Amino acid sequence: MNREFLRLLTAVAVGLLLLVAVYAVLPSFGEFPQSRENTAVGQRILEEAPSQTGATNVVTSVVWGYRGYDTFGEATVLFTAVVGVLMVLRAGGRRE
Amino acid sequence: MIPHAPILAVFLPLLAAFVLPLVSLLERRYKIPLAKEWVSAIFVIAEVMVVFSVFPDAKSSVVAYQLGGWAPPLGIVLAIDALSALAALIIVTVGALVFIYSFIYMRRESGVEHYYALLFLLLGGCVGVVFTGDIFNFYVFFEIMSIASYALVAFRRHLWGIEAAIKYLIVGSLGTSFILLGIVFLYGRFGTLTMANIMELMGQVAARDLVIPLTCFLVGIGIKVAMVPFHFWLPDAYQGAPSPVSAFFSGATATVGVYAIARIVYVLFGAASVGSLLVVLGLITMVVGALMALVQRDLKRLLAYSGISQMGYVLVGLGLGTALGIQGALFHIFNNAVYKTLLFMLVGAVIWRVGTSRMDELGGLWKNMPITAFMFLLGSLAIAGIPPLNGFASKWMIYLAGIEYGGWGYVVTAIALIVSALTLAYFLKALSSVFLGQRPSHLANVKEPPAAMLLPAMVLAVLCVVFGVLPQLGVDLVEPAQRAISDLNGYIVGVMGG
Amino acid sequence: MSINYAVAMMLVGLGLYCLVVKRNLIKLVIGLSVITDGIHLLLISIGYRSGGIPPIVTSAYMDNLEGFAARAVDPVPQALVLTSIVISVCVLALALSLAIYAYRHYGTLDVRKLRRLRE
Repeated sequence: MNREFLRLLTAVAVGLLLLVAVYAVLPSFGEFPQSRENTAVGQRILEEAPSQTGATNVVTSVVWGYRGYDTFGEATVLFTAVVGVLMVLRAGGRRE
Repeated sequence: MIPHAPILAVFLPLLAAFVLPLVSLLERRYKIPLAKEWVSAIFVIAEVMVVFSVFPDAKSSVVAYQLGGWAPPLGIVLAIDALSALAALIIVTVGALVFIYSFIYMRRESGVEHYYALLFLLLGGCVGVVFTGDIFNFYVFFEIMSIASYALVAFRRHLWGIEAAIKYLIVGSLGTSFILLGIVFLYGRFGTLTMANIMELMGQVAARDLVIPLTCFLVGIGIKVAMVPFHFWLPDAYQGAPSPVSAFFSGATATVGVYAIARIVYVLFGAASVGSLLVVLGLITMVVGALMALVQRDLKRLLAYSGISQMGYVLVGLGLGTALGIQGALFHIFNNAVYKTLLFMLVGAVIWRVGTSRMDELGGLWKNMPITAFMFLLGSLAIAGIPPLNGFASKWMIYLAGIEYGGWGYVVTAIALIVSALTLAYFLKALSSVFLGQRPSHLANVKEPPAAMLLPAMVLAVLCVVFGVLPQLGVDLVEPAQRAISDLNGYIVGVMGG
Repeated sequence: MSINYAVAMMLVGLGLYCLVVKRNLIKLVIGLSVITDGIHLLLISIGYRSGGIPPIVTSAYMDNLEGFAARAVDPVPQALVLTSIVISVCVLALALSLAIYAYRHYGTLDVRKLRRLRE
C-alpha cells in the first residue's frame, strides 16, 4: 500500500511540475510567431512556401517538402512496426 | 568521401530492410540457397565503406548535407562532425561483425528474414540518430531504433523474451515520450528545430528556463543508456534477446545513448554544469552494476550488469568535463563496444553449442572450446582493465582525469579502481564456472563453434590487443571528437554557414 | 493564461498515473498513448496565433499572400504531430501484438503475473 502511494505521489508530482513548467517556459497561448527569442521558422515557411513549393496547403509543403526526410522516417517506422508485428505473430514452432 | 555519403549511410540499411522480405520470397520460390545472407552481406559491406569514407572529412570540419536542398533552419540538415563520425564508425563496425556472426547463429531459427530486416532497421536507425542535425528528426530515428529493438528482444518468443520486450517497450516508450516533450519545449521557446540554430539562440535564455527541457532529455536518454534509476529493463532485455542482438545492443545501441548525452547535454544545451550530476549518477551506476553482476548466476545477465557498470565509467568521464576525461570516456565507449560485443559473441557460441547460459550447469569447457575460452579470458581481462589490453588504456585516462580534477576527483578515481577490482572478481568467477572446474558428463562432446562464428570474435579480440598495446591509436581516433564537443562555434558555423 | 497547456499537461499526468498504478497490459498501453496525445495537444497549441486561420491558401487569400502569412497558424507543429501520431500508432501496434501473443500463450495480461511466471 505504501509503495502504491509513493508511485501515485511521483506521478502527481511530475504532472504538477510539468504544469508549472509549460507556463514558465513556453510563450503564452496564441502568441505565434513571436517565440520569446526569435521569429519562428513557421512564419518564414508561411511567407515562402506558397511561392517556393506552389502548394496551397502549407502543411503539405512542410510534410512533403521542407521536412520530407521526417516523412521518410515516418514511413520507415511504419515498416518497422509491420515487420515487428509479422515477426511476433508469425507461424512456426515456439522453441523454449 | 563518396558523393552523397551522408544520406547513403542512412539509406542503405533501410533499403536493405525493405528489400530483404522480397529476397526471401524469391529465395523460397526459386530455391536459391543463402540469398538473404548474401544480400545482407553486400549491403553491410557497402554501408561500412560509405561510413568509413565520411570519417576523414568529418574529422577536420562539419559535413553539412541539406536534404532536398532546403537550407537550414527551414529544412532538415544532416550534420556530421567528428563525434557523429566516431559513433557511426563504432556502430557500423559492430553491426557488420554481428551480421557475419548471425549468418551461422540464426541459421536454425524460423522467420530469419524478419530478423535481418529488423537488424538492418536498427542499424539504419542508429546511424540516422548520430548523423542528423535536426532535433525532431533525431526523435524520429530514435523511434525507428527503439521499435526495432523492442521487436528484436521478442524474436525468440519464449517467456523471457516476450516479458522483457513488453517491459522494454513500456519503459522505452515512456523515455521517448519525454524526449518528445523536451523537443516541444525547445520548439516553443526557440521556434526552430535545427540544432545549430537552437545553439545560436541558447545564450539568450535564462538558465532556469532550460532546467525542465534538459531534465526531459536526460530522463529520456537515461532510460536508453540504463542509467541507474532506470536500469531495470536492461538485464531482462539482454537475456531475452538472441545473443547477436545482445551483442549489438551492448556495442552499438549503448554507443548511440552516450552519443545522445554528449550531443544533447554538452553540444545542444552547452550545459557543462550538469557534469557533477553526471559524475554522481555515473558512480552510482558503476557500483550498482558491479554489485548486481557479482550475484548473477546467468552468464548473459552477468554481462548485462557489467555493461551497466561500464556505462558508469563513460558517464563519469563525460561528467568530469576535462579534455582528458572526455577523451577517456569516448575511448572507453569504443573499447566497451569492442570487448562487450566480443564477450556476448562468445557467450552466444557457448549457448549455440550447449544450449544454456546458466553458470551452474556449465563447467570445464576449456578442453572442448580452447579458442573460445582463450578469447573469453582476453575479453574478461580487457573489461577488468588489466594492462596491456584496451580496457586498461581508457580506464587509465579516466583515473588520471579524476586525479587531475583534484578535490573529490580523488574519490571518483578511488571508487572507479575498486569497481575495476570487482569487475575482475566477477569475470574470474564466470570464467572458472564456465570453462574450468568439473565438466558435467553430458558436455563431453561439445565442440568449438564454426569458424564463421569465431572469425568476427577474433577480429574483436585482435582489436582488444592492438588498442591496448598502442593506446595512442585510440587517442588519435577520439581526439577530434573531443575537440568537436568543446568547439560549439565551429559546429554552428559549419551547419548554418558563416 | 489559457487552458490549453494545462489540459495537455493534465493528460500527461493522467497517463503517468495510469502507467504507475495499473497492471493490465492493455491499460498500460492506453496510458502510454494518453501521454503522447497530451504532448501532441501541447505541440499543436504552441503554434496557435490569436484569431488565426488554417495554413491553407484559400481563394480569398490567393492574391493576398502577405495577409495570409500574417494570419495563418504555424504549419510546422501540425506536420510534426502528423509524423508523431504515426509513430505512436506503430508503438501501439507492436505493444498490442505482444499482448495478443502473451495472452494466447500464457493466459494473462497482468504484467506482474507474467513476471512471476519467469521464476
